[in-house]
Amino acid sequence: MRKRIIIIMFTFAILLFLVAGRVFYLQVFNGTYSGRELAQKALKFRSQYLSAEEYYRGEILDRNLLSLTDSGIRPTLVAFPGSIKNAAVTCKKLEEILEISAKESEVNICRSRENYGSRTPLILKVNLTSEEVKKYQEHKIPGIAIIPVKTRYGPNSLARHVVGYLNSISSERWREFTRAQKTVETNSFLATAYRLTDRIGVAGLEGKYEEVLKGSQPENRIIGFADAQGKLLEGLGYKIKKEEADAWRNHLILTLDRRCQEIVERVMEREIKRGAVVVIDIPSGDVLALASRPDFDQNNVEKHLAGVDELLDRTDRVAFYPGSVFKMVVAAGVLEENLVQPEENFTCLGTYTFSDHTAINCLCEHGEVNLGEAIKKSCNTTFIQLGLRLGNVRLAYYAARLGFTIKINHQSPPALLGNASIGQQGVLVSPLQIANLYATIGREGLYRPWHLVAQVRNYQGDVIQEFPHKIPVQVLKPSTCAFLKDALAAATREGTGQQAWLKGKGTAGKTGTAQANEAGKVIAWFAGFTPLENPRLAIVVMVEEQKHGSAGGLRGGDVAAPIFREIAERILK
Amino acid sequence: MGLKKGTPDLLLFFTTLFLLAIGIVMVFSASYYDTLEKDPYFYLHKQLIWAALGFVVMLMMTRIDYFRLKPYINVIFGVAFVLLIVVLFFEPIKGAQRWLDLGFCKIQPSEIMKLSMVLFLAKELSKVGPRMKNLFTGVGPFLLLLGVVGGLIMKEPDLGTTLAIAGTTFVLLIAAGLRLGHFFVLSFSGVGIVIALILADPNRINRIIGYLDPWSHASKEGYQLINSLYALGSGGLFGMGLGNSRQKLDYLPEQNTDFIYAILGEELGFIGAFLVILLFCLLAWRGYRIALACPEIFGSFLAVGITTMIVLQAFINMGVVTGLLPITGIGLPFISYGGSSLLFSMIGVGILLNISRYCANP
Repeated sequence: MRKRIIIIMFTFAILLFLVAGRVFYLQVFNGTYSGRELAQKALKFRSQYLSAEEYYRGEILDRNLLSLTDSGIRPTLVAFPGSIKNAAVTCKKLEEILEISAKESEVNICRSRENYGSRTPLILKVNLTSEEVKKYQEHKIPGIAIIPVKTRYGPNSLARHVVGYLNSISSERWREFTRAQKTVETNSFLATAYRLTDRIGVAGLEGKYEEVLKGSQPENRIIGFADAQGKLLEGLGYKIKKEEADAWRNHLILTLDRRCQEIVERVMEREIKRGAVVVIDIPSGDVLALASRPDFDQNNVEKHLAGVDELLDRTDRVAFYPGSVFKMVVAAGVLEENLVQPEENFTCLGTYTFSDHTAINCLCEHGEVNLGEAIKKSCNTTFIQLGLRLGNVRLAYYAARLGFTIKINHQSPPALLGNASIGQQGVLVSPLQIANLYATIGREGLYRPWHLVAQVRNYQGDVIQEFPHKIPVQVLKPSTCAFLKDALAAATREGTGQQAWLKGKGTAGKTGTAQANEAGKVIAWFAGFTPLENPRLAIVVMVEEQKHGSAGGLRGGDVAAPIFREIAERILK
Repeated sequence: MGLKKGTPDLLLFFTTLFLLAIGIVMVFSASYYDTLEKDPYFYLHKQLIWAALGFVVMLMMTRIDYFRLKPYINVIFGVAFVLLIVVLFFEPIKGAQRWLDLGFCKIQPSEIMKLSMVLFLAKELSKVGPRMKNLFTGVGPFLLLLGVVGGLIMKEPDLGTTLAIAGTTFVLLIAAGLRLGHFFVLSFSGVGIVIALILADPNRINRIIGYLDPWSHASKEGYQLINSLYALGSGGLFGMGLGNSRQKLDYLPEQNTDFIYAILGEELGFIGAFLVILLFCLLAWRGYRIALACPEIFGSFLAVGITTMIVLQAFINMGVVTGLLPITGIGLPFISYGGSSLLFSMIGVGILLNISRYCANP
């Protein structure tokens, strides 16, 4: 029996040391599934990951590589579903404190729980203001935290209509992606594969360059330490972890200048309720600023989808009657064709009657005016006569050469041609086209298509694609342009557009007051360029509705011209 | 008996107290998060009460001469046996009928049976003598007894305790002179029975899957083991520090009972985990030393039985936690939370200490 007890004792000693060996392997030895590897796995398993970036996308930058969307790291309201006992109660509280729709957040939290489980945090609201942060910190709700997240659209996001916005993937797009094997389900090798819950660019450059901008992973992650139910641990909070660079995302560089854009948008915010402003750099044809009002909130697109008006890009996507600013096309045509002499006088009786007895009124009875005076005084009667002299085909031809497509052909009746000559029926244009017309005059007849998207850069900042300037075409004779410039300068100095005159630098510009698409309303235009010596900026201001003042009595010279001057002065400063 | 009484084995005494102290601290550390919102000290309080009670009873047992127990062994065993039947009429808790709910506390009859079985076996084996060499007349009755007791406990069901009792019985039979041939026959049939028991229950099949390849079944069958390994791995050499376990935050199920050793390893590192193994080695050494030094055969068997019961459970528990053995559901003596287990382990050590007083040179 002694011997047997000793054997038993040693057997157990061996067994216990076997366990000790195993414990040593697991805790100290760094093999597979042991030691440090095990510890890292454990850490990963217990951590909750939240992308520290709202969207994994390349930036949209201005010509100096500044963010146009005002992307940046800002306090963001994040929900940790695991720590929320009663979503309804929590959301109600949030609504009381921060005025966030309780219903909406509750839906989001519940949906996230269903799709990703309670261990995945979700963003409730981006870009909290410092007051909101302060307000929240007085209350502190379990399961809700304010965390710095890089948001794509900041409060100072500019050129929103150009940039566009993101939205959830429509079922059609999803089918398209599925067919093209671009979804997570259909292509597990594609780093940028789409998930059904992703948001993609659907409008503006975000939409057009979706494939260029789309990245594969966030640059930073937020790691939350939570228990198994996803409840955040008090005192441990979260950590921000830098990830590898996202090699998939590219940045889009525009010709816009954030400084100019900001000047334009600040002025517009003050003055224009509905309208557009375009600024073009005359020597290069680069668009420097491009803004449309009313504006929209890129972080809250759903709100605007019902009322389409805010989302409309009035600089390029909507056509307006240009009114008198279009007269330069007619003037250029008759000068190029030598159909008029500068001294030749036209008679204005205050109204022009066509053979079909329709009549167009002029501003007043101008009497005898020559071409230069007609531009200065914006005489409709003279321009109708000039248009008729130019004829259907040649008007359409010069319009096309200067970048317009008008509804005038060889069969158009004289009344229509007359209307077109003063920028009404038959002529629908965008502010961008008008800006390019005045840039062409300022460039002494050299036509350059405007340039907006300049480059694509990769994640390291190297240029991987240049969008070259198109080859310029001399569409007007310099002598024609010199005449027009003088006439436009006179119109600004002494004529209809005096409020757009820049002291010392001078302005060559034209007012316009056109019928709006809606009956009974008018649009105020001012288009021109400055300075007179070596023109730099072609600017178009189009106002459908002022911020203050009556919508009915808009006049290009009173409404649009001062805005032109303020913008030009501040940019040239 | 005219034996001279000496001082009890102080090394065993202090080893036990050391294990108990580690246990109380670890039970608190491992359990407080679980009951944070109600009462973080819930498990600590209960364990403290049981430890105090166990300590008093242990001291009492040290003073009661172990051979005076002999006449009562049949009664004790009978009571334990009846309780095993009675427990089957109680409401199941977590799907098992293991607890007798007395209102103020819950008692596990299988824990009573563990010690009673050792007492009963020691008494019977001390009488069996050379009959042990016969498989039917010697070994047979013990196997029959084990079959009945084991069957009752499996009815609860409680595979862990059954295995502990079967293993202890087996070791006692070996100590009593089981023949080598019989040893192999019993080993093989024992393995056969275990396999049959596993195959009979899909739950146990899952445990085996989780044991063989935990990483491929990380979210289901392997979840508990993997989280146990996560805890140990996070501990490293020096541990995360007392109280700093992360795996106890609901990640590791049974973190204060069957898997407390993993939390211990996470907080105290390999140093702490190895210390616990050393303490059990020390306990085994002292226990078997007492068995060897005991001048009388009943005391020897009793010492072997009690020591084996404790050390075998410790081995199985730590083996499970480290992934050496499939999950059986057995606590770590003195350390895991559990009143009955602690109380009867302490009584066992008390008896061991009493035996040590009669040893010439413990």
